[in-house]
Amino acid sequence: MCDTDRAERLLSLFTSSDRAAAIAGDLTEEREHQGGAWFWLHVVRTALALWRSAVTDAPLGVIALAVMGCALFTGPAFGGAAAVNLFPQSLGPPASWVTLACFWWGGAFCIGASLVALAPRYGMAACATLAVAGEALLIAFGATAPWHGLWVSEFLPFYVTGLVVAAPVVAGGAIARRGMNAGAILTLEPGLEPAPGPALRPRR
Amino acid sequence: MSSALNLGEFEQLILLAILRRRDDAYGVTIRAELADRAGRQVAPGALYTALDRLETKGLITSRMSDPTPQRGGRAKRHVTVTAAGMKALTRARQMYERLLDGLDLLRGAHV
Repeated sequence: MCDTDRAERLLSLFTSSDRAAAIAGDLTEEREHQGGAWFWLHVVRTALALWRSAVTDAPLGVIALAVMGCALFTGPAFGGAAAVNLFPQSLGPPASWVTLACFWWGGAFCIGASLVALAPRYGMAACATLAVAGEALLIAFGATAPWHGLWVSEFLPFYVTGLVVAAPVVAGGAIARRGMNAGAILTLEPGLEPAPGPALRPRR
Repeated sequence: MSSALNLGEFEQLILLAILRRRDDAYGVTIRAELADRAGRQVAPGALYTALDRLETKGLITSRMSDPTPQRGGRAKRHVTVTAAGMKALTRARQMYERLLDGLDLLRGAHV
């Protein structure tokens, strides 16, 4: 896979597949004069700009989706915590934390995919917003929590497992989004409709 | 006046750059035109989100061209200004002219 393909994949998380391809093509065209560092800097900056644009276009919708994702996550969150705390005899420490990670990361992955399936146009923006907000809250909590209470106790595995939850949320959303860009569900949302004609021809 | 017809300065610059490039207006050439003529180094992300916004307002339309090898086999998204876009630009210019009427900014008479 070349850099243009990778850039297009990243950009298509936040815009329609034909527009993502055109932007990746523009950046590839300018890469000859500007260099690889410029290319990747602007791929990332453009993806961030598209994400911000999605949030500002429909702030209430994105926030509602993110809150819904947060509410849905309480299920796997309590499920994982219960599995670790209610059956300490049957689950030794390593098995406990693997179980917790399966509940939390698996749940987060499914929630990311569900948000994109529910709202193809703004679901990915909601996933990214949820992931960033969750990480920020956890990091702020970690920075302000009493050191002896957080780092020396058995709370630490919960904290570390929670810090990684953002990744499966985004991964679930990204995989669902890629599936939609490739499939027929695209036609449900005007912003995701592929352009007719040349854009759909096979690439060289 | 419709809010779609109230253009910001950046939107006006983009519409003018599109008009100048006629049939060859896409991301790269619009950025080059803005850099050459207006001295503005516009970030690609800012340009693409502004183009999306202008298209949503109905001030421009876009079409995809044939893919080319030097672009990694990707098509260009060519944009053109619509009649509503022309009307919005005309209104903006008339507004400036009314405000500038009687002022002589170039000679510094009002500094």
